[in-house]
Amino acid sequence: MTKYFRDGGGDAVAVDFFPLDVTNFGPAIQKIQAAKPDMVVSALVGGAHVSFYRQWAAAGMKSRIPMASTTFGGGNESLLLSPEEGDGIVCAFSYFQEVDNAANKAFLEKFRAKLGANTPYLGAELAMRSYTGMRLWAEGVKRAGTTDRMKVIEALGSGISVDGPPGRTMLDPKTNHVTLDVYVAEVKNRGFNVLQHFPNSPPADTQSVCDLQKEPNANRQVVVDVRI
Amino acid sequence: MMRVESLVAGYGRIGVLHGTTLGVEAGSCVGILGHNGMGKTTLLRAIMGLLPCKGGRILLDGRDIQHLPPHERGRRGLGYVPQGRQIFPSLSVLDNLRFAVVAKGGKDGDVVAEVLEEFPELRRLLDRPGGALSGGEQQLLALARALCGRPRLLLLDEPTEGIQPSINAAIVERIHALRRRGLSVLLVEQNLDFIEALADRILLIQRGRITREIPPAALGDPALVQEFVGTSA
Amino acid sequence: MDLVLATGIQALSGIATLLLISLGLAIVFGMMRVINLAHGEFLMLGAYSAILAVQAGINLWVAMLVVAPLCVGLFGVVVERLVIRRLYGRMVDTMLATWGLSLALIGAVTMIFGNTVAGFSAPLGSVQIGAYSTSGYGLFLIAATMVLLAAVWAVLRFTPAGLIARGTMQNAGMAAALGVPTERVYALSFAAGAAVSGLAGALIAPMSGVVPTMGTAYIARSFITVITGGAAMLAGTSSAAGLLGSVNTLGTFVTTPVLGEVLMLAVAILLLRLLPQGITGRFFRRSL
Repeated sequence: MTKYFRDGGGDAVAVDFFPLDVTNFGPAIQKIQAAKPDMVVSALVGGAHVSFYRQWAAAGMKSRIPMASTTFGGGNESLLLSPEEGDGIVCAFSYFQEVDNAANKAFLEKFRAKLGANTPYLGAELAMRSYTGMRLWAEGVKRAGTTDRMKVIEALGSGISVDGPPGRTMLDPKTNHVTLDVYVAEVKNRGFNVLQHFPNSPPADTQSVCDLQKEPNANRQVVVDVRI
Repeated sequence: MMRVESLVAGYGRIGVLHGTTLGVEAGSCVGILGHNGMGKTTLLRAIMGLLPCKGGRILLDGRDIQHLPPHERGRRGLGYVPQGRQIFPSLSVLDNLRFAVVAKGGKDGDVVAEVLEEFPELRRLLDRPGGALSGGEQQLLALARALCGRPRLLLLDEPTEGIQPSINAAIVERIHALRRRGLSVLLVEQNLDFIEALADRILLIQRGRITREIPPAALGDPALVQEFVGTSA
Repeated sequence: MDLVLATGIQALSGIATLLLISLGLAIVFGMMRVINLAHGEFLMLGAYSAILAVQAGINLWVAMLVVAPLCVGLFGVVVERLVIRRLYGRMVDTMLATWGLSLALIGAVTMIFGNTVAGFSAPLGSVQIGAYSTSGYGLFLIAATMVLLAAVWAVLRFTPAGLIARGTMQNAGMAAALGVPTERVYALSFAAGAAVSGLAGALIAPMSGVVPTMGTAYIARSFITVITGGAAMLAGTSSAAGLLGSVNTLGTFVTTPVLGEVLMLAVAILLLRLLPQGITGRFFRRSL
C-alpha cells in the first residue's frame, strides 16, 4: 500500500500491523489522532478486527478523518456495523451486490427467485468470484469439449472470458490471474453505494513479475517488488 | 443415639475400615484409642460422610444416614472437629464462627455471642485471620466453631495433637461443661491422659476393627497399655 | 498533558477490558477450580443476548445490564447441571468437556443466527480531551468495571452468602461438614460466573465485532490474566489485569501492536516462572 500511496503522490505517515486477535484499538486510535493523517487505510481482517471500526466511530473519529479499506466488506463486515459506524468507509472490490448493470439485475432476480426468503446478502466480491470461477472452468470445458484435465487446462490458457454480473472476466494466460472490472464503493446502511467503475483492470502487479507463456513450468515464488 | 454397624471404608482400593461396629449412647462420651494408621480418622470421616462407605450402616437416632451428603449429616446434629483443625485460614476468627451458624441457615449474632461466653480466650482474637493463630488457639476455635452449629453429637479427632498441655486441660474442662448439658461425644485419641479424663467407655481400634473395650481402670496399668497400645502415656 | 491524560485513559481502558472479560472466569476458577474453556463463548452469548434484545425493541441499557447476565446466568445453571457437576475434581475431563461445549456453541450460534448479526453502536458519543477524542462509552466501561468489581467484593465480604462462598472456596470438605450444601454453592458460583461473563460480553459488544467466533479472541487473554493472578480471585485478577493491561497498552504506544502483545505475554510468562502460584500465591495471600 505504501508503494501505491507514493505512486499516487502521497505518503504513509505510519504503518502498524495488528495480531489477528487484537480487540482493543484504543492505543492505535490515539496514535492516529496524534499523527493527524489525511486519511486512514485499513487492511484489517476478521471478527476481532471489526472492533477497530466500532471503536473508531465511538471515539468520534468518523467525522474527522476519512477511511478507506482494501478488505472491509470481504467478510461482510458491513453487516456487523450499525449505519452510524460503517457509512462512508470507501472500499474497492471486483463486485458489489449493488453494481448497476443488466446482467447483475437479471442474476439477482433469479437468485432471489430460487432462494426466496433465505436469500443472503452477497456484499462484496467473495461469493460472486467463486461463482465466476466455476463459470470460467465451465467455459474451458465447453471449449475443450471434454472434462479431461490437461485438455481443460489448455483450453483455459487459450484466452477465455465470461460475461456476468461483475462485468467481463478474462483469464490472463501470462499469470493465470484474471482481468476484471473493479468498483469503488462507499459503505451505506449496511450495504454499499457504488461510486466508480474501472472496467478491464489487468492484474498489473503480478504481470510485472510473472510470465507463464515464456516460462510455462515456472515453479518459484515470485515477489512483487514494492521497494521504492 | 448413634450406631455404626459393620462399616467398610477406605481410600481407593486400600481398605481401612473392615467392619467397624460401635455405639454412642445419648449423653455419653466414647473414646477410641488406637495407633496411627488403625483407622481412627477414617472412621470419623466416614461417619461425617466425607469418605464414601462400601458397606455397613450408620444409624443416627435409629435412622440410616449412609446415603446422606455431609451437610445433611451436619444438619442432623453431627459436629466435627477434624484432625489438623482445618480452620478457614483466610477468614477471621469471628467469620470462622459465623460461618458455622450461617452454614446451617441460622442467624449468627446470638449463637456466636453464646459460644464466645464459653470461649473467652477467643474474644481478643476475633479480627485475626484463622491461619495466623497458634495451634492451641486454632484447636479452641475449631471446637467453638463446631459448637456454633449446635451439634448433639461431637466428633473429635485427636484434639491434643501438637497442643500444649495447658490448652488440653482447658479443652477437657470445656467438654465436661458441654456434656453436663447433654452433648454426646465420640473421641479418637492417642493421648491416654486425655482420653481417660473424658471418656465413659474406651474402645480399642486395631486394623479397622474395634477389638475390645478397655475398662478405664486398666489405663493405669502400664503392662496393659504396653500390650494394647504400644505406647506410654 | 493531554497526551499523558489520554494515554492514561487508554491504559485504564485496557486494564478494565481485561478485568471485565476475566472476572467471570476468575469466579468459576477461584470458587471451584474448574477451568471453563467455554468462557469465551459465554462472553459471545452475552453479546448476542444483548444484540437480540435490542433488536426486539428492548432498551439498550436494560438489554446490556439485565437481559444478558440473566440469559447467560440461566444458561450457566443448565451447563453446570448437565456437564460440570458430573466432572467435579476431574480437571482435565472438565477442560475437555467445556472445550467441546465451546465448539458446539460456536456451531449452534452460527447455525441459528448465521455468521453475521447487525450490532448496535456504542452509546454516549465521544469526549474531547485536549487534542484527543475518545469514546464516552469507553469511559463508561472503565466505571462499570470498577462498580462490578466493587459489587462482587461487597457480596463476598459482607453478605452471608459471601461468607459461605469464601469458606467453601478455602476448604470445601470442612464447609460441608459444617452444614453447607456444597453442590448448591458450586452451582450458584458457576451461574454467578456465567452471569458476570454474560454481562461482560454485553458490555464489550458495542466496541467489538460480534461474531460466533468472537470468544476465541478473548479467551487466551482472560486465561493469562486469571492464571497470572493466582488463587485470590479479585485481588489476583485485578493485579494481573492492572499489570498486563498497562504493559500491553504502553507497549503498543511505544512500539507496535505486535510487540505490545508480545511484551504482555512475555511478562506473563516471566511472572509465572518467578511466581508459579500467580501473583496472589506470594502477595495479598489472604485477600479475596
